Amino acid sequence: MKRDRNSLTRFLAAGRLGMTVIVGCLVLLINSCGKNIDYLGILMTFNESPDERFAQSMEYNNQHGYDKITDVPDDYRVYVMSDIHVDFSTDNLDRYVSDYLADTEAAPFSLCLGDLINATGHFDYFAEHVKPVSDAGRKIYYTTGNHDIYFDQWPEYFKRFGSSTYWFEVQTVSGYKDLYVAIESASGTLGADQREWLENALKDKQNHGFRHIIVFTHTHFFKKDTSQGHTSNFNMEETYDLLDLFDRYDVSMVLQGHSHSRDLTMFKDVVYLRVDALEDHYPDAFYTILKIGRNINYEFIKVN
Amino acid sequence: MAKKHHIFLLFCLILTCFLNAQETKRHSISADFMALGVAGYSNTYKWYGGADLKCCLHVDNTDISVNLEALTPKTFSMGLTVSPSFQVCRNGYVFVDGTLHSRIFAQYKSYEFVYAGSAGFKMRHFLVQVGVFSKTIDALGREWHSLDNYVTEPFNVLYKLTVSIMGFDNNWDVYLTGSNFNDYEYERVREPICSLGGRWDFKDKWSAVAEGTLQAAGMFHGTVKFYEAVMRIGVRYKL
Repeated sequence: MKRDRNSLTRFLAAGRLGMTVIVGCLVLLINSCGKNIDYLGILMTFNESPDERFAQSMEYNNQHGYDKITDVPDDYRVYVMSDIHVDFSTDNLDRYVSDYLADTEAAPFSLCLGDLINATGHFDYFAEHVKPVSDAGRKIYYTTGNHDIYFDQWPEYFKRFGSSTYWFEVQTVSGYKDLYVAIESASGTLGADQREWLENALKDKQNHGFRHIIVFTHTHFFKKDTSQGHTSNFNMEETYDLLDLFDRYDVSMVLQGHSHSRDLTMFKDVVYLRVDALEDHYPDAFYTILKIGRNINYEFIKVN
Repeated sequence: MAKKHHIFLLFCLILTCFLNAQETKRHSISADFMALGVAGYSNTYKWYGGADLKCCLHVDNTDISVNLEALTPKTFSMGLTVSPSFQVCRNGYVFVDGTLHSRIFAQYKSYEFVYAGSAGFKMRHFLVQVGVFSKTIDALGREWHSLDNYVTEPFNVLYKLTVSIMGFDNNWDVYLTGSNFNDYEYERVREPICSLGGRWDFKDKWSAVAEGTLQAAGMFHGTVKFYEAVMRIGVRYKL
């Protein structure tokens, strides 16, 4: 009996030590993420799953259709922003909007790779500051970032910006066609349904003679240095699966954000361009201009 | 960032530990064999199945483990781990692990190669392990001199915490593990793998083993979503 009590005491002591270490490690992991943490998200992820968000995006697509942008010059410039993290200031976002609208050679559309806001309740602020773009007859195509769905914000995002999984075509004056595909990776996974949609969409478009196929999403695929230590990624198997998918269907370029630092990787003949953050107060805030023509070139523009 | 010579020095250290762990008198040698069936569901593969084989040779205070896994989506994994351990208190052991691990994704025409070094502390009810690993991702049949290249992720942290309910040496046990790696895969630091497992030594040399694993899709500022659930069931035979 005494021996049993000793065993129980040792077990409880080990259990306490174990729990202390586990909780300590979790706190360290979470706190290293920075501010604005959805602490309850670890235990209560009852908001929309990636499959549910995808279903809503498909419903939106069915109602609104897929865009086709015509009469674009053969060589055109696409403005790309990511990780704007709007909180209480919009200096860099305002600079982006004014530069974009002042550029007469820019395409009538621009891309935003997610993380529009930092925490809660700033979508209206963001929308107000990009309104001059739509007023000028141009359009920003969005995909969701992880910050856009914290604190159950997906319904608000969806109401304002619509589908996060879609494609649109660009047709140039000489008849060249480029395909842009937005995929939603705000949870670090596409989910089974979106994965299937992506393959079907790429398969369907395979023989349509596109000059370039450009995929854009929020979460990045490679973690080549410690500068990305604070970010989550896709699981490895999903990474390999998607890398193979992009290779099989001749995707030219995959644009990603999320890590706040740029990187260029070529893997299996596909170019993976990770772009900088446009966040205010970020020491190296840049937006990116893609120069689409026979080839794709790019330029990073510092805004602060 | 882990440099090549740091990795080399780490391996030298582990090999030195391996030699130091050998008793100079009579060697104690034993082995375990384990065969498991695998069934899982993931966002990538949906339903899949496969088989795992494990072999562990115990030489004095050193474990030499070989792990093989074949999954129906044409994924094969193999690993070799050398793990010498030292008793530091009545119920506590310090161990160091040196691991070479590879996964081949035949259907994706790509593979990864991992080399890992770690240290840990094991008690009757508790195991903690921390280390680093480097991962290289490459395409099968990549042409030389092309612009295309392999990708190296040079610095990753690995971690494992296991709490055993009945003790690792009891004739039955239930344990809970949180880690970013197991015998078959090495995930990045923010992609945790949570396992609940059990073992029952139902005969002198035979044990039944089962482990359920839940893998989250990232830890995005605390918000996690489902990525994968795996069940492994099999037997272990002690030689």
